[in-house]
Amino acid sequence: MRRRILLALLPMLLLLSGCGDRRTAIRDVRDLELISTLGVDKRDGQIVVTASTGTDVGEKPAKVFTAAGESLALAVEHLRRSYTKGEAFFAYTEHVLIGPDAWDVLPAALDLVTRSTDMRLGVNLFLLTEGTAEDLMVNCQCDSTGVSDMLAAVAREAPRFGRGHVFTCGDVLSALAQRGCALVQTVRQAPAEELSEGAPKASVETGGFAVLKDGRVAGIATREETAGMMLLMNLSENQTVALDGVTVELTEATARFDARASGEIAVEVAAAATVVENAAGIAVSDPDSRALLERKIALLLLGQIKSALSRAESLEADVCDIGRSLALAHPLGFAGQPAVRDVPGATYSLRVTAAITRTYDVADPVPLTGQGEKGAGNAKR
Amino acid sequence: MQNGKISFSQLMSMAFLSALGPVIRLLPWAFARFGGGASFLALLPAAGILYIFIYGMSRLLRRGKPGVSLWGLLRASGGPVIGTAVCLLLGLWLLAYTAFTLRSGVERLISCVYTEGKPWLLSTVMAALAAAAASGRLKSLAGAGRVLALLLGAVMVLVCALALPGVRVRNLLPDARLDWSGLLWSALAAVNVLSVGVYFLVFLGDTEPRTLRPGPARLAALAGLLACLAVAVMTVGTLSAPVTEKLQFPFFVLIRNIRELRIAERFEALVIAVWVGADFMLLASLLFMLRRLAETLTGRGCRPVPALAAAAANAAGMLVSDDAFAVHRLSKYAIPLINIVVVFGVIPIMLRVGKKAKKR
Repeated sequence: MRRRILLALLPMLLLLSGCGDRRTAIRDVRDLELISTLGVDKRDGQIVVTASTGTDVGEKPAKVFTAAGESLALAVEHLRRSYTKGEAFFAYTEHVLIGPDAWDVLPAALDLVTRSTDMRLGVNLFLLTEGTAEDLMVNCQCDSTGVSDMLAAVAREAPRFGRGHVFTCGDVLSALAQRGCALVQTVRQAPAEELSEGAPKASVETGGFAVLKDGRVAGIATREETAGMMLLMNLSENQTVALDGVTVELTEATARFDARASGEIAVEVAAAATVVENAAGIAVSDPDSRALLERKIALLLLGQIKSALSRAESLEADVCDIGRSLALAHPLGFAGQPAVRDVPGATYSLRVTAAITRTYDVADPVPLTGQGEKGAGNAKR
Repeated sequence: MQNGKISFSQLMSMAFLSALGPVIRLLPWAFARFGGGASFLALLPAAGILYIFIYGMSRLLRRGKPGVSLWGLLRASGGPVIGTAVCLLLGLWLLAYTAFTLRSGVERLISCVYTEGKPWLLSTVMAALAAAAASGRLKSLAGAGRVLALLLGAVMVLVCALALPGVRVRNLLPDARLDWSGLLWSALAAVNVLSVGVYFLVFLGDTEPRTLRPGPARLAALAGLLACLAVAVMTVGTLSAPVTEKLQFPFFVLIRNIRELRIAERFEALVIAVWVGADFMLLASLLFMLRRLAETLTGRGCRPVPALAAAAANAAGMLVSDDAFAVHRLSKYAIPLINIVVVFGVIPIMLRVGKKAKKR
């Protein structure tokens, strides 16, 4: 009997894998176009989708397809059933890019991704601020690279420059459900950075965060506001900043929140930095010089935080998830701690500290003028 | 084990396997709905409730006649008329539960993998397989359970290991104040999904020794609680409580999202296929319980009963709930409520009444 049961179960394991269509139950991977990026535009009342394959699949150049429909699902279905050589397959889609004319399609896009048995909630979400997704995807495509590579690079590198953080569809859904607003990374088309022959015509550049509220884009944050939001959400990663001839890398920046009995929300940001370029000739080994530099860093971060809070206030949205951070400051919530304030409309007490902890191999300026110690002393003054 | 008997540990591993289907179907939703992010803490009171319940049941069954199954005990407790009526009512409930398990299993396959699948075809295949297994020997079914438990255990460990990097501690911490009532409801949900093990006392006459052993029962409950913990932490920790609450099958959405170094990804179809094993064990066990009921009432072997019951459950599953909304409503409210009344009300009360009557 056991053998019979096992014999009955084995074909189930093989046949119920879900890979197959109604006719053959088998699909050759060569007959599939693995869509890596899905662009969404709106034209003449129709939703236009543009799909790009990745360049790393079988070392083939990326292909770009397009289709239109009355709804996003129909446009995707038309793309899937279009008369291309292979069937468009969305199980490996990594990025969804929504053009400026189609921002109102964003809720539909989130719904489609959540409902789909192919796409994942881990798909990166981008909003394009200029042009169309189709133009960007076509202009970024060449034999060696494509829009998918560029968006992947944005996701990887943007936090390092304090330019943003790429949120997934799951992150956005979760934020909308938890606090009624969410952030989405914006991008725009820029001249190509690669100058070699056969390079693409354009590349992708990061913009500020778009703030979603009440099912629509309520505003776009400036670069400074975006950097402040990242600091408050503890999303900054080794941000590099230039300060009057000295370039520092923020190796750590941690924001802490607490609700005071007075009704204020106390925000403390502690940053650690390393000097990566010292063109101003400041003697970093000297505590006084270092304190001046640290103050400059703290003021820069303070400005970013203030602008982020001001933006959140004007949008009446807890875009930086401060409400939840306050709640989590006392996770078990036994008696004694102050109640959580309504974040939009609250007053803040801000404290930012910065510490330069390292300058790599060179503590003091390199004596480029041949004056040795004298150069350092001058710089100190 | 002699004469086709199974050990009590084997019986408990069958019960654990059978509980996995309800665990992934109901638990993430119930935890997210009632307890929010920190609902995994509800497993502590759940453990307490289960410990007390196992202790109580072992006390109730301690001085029972060895070798008498739950059906026999219930029948003896109420006398020939009331006892038989209670057994028939419980049998009817188990038949309805079989129909629901078939239908919800099919719904999961359609929602997660076979979007164009035919419910009747999948349901008939599952019912036929379960009926074939329930028509044979219990020892064979227990043996298959061991294999499936190993397979599902390995899949569970793999899924947890791959999903762990996506878990955000922030999603698992409670909001400002711990919602005690929410935690209690979550604990009840966990106890409810694991309480399917009580029905396996029907097979007490097939075990050696032929009585409830609290040790293996507690071990099975602990394994079930750990499975609940893994499922709750992974789904709510990755997807957050509000999103988990909105999804029909959050555990499979979680598996779909797993992506490690672009090497391990998109294996949810295989996991879902393997997970059919948990449904298979629950269905086959329920049909076997109905067979044992018929045998208790008629006093002779009733091998065709599983096939007849499977056909009836298949037809009922198709007729009663032809849309997914009805299945989800049943899954979230009606089925758990009836189950809790039966497991924590009807069965212990009947056993208690029987024990008192015996003393007199």
